[in-house]
Amino acid sequence: MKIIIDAVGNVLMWSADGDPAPGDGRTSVELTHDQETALLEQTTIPNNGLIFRNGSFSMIAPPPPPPPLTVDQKLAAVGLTPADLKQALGLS
Amino acid sequence: MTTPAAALPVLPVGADDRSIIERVNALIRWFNRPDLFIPSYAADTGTGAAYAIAPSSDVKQYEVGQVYEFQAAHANTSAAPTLAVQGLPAGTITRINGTALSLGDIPAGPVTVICTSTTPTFALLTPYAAAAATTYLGADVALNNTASFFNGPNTGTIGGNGQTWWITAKASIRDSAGAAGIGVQIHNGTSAIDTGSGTTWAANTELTIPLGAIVALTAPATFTLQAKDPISTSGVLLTTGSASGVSNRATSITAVRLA
Repeated sequence: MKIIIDAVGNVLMWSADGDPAPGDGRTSVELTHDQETALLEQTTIPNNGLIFRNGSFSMIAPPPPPPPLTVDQKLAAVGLTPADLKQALGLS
Repeated sequence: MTTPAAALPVLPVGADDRSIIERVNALIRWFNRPDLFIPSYAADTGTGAAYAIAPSSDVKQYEVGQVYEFQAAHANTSAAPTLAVQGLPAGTITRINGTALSLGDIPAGPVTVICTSTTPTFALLTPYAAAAATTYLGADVALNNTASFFNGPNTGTIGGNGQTWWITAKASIRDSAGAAGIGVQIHNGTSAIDTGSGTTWAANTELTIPLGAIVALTAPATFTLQAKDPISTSGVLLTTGSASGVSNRATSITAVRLA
């Protein structure tokens, strides 16, 4: 398994069988069996990315869930405005 | 090669027709024993462009249908490598349909060819090396320029002239600013081989766009999944989808060799 990391260890890509191209300023790292196991364990835990430093993985914590949508946003998602709703309900 | 004598009892004088036929058939089976054939296997002593084997001094000439197995010392470095058996003239090795090989179709390892003409020519019977791999995005990519495509995961350099590959990808995207139209493509370093688009329906909602194309290569190539948010600078190509329950698998590119 290979990972591509940037200068500070952020895991940019990973592949079990492939050999992705690292690109400028990035490094391709061939993982040991234990490191492969550690990476796959990380993917079972909620995270928003991985960091690989000194041979070990750590996680970037996932962001907090977004606030619930407002009524205006929900209506906009189906192409309506609050005015449309008021009119349909006989409130305008 | 030393061949042991057939252990068949002599027929008695006046043997009947049935006994004679049975004995003749037994002799035919004896001489057709596979282990009595001329050896067709040897280790290769040539190069990746000119293989050479010497399985047996009993090989005197080429015949159509002869099958040779050898341990190639090198993967083929030519699209038209040759094989010479037992010092006989060398002949080109092709695919079974007569087309030229791709580099690496013959691995360094066991290979089987069949003689297809006494010119000579040979056809490769060993399947080409299968190849398939997926690369996942490991960190979010900010799509913070509405005019630019940003690189996601890539396949690395794959394939060779004459090979056919299936390239498929999926891009998961979120925009924190609001509904956004997203463009994605698989790029081969020169041009896009497949494109797609979609729209997130509200801020922070996620969109996954699949892509895929079958490509005939004329040279080794690297394929990259790219994404662009032309609406705002708040788009993100995601390593993890919020609803899947599995991390680091939301965006990926896969390459599979078909032929």
